[in-house]
Amino acid sequence: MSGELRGLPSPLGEDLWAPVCDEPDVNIAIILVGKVADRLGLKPVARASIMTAASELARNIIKYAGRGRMRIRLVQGSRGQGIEVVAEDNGPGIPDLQKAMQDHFSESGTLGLGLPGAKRLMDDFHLWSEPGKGTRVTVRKWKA
Amino acid sequence: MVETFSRMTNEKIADQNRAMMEMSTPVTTIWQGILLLPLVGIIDSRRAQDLMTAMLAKIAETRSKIFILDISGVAVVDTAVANHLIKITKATRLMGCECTLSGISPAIAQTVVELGIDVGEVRTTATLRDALEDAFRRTGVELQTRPAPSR
Repeated sequence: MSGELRGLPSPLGEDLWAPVCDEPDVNIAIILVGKVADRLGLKPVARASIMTAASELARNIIKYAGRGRMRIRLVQGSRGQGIEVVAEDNGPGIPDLQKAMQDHFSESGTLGLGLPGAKRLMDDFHLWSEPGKGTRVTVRKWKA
Repeated sequence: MVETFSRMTNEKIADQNRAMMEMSTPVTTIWQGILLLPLVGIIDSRRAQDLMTAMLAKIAETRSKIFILDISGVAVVDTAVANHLIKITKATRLMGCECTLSGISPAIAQTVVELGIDVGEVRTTATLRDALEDAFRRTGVELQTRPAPSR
């Protein structure tokens, strides 16, 4: 049932998709993440963490790509049940991944803590980006 | 097994969200010289701008020296929201009004620290009560509990 393919956690239940095109969309995405976190029964700190990370990723989509989408779902992995959020866009991509993961590096004049901060808040963090193609960030928070 | 996720159409959430956004910013004078604004929901940059405008106008109008911004009802404080809140406290200070962010929950405190946000000189308290007691102390208000009348 919960067999993992190449170490990837398997989905539990259906995927929720949220388009991210403007600030109200960001708010809706955050609310959806909160609802899925509640369904999983995440503790307040973990719940706030995944909502905050999702918020950072959604704002990044607006800031750098203009539009994109988020997929929110419950997953089963070797560490038990968790919540997974994928933020993806077909934007310009991140030119320098290493720099993007440094604290206080920002290409938009903001604090520059979004990506590295989101990574610190999460149990799993995967960043994929290719210039001209887009960016996809996957984050997970496990219940246990 | 896996129950179906209780569906909430995006429109419905958008409506609720809009309603939340359009909730006014009810700045109240709770004591002479002390303003209070309880924040609820999700803060985005438009709302943050509205907040700052409303708060500064009320400070100018009432000449208050203390502002308590209670964020216990705010779900997420990410880097953008934190940045807005820090700016708000700076702006009130420029007007001679000290702003305290009250209602910092354990979850918010931890996420803000993990994000690596430097809250600097922002005055914060865990509860609204702490902020209020602090405000009374600074304005010289003394509260006394009257001894219970003996029957």
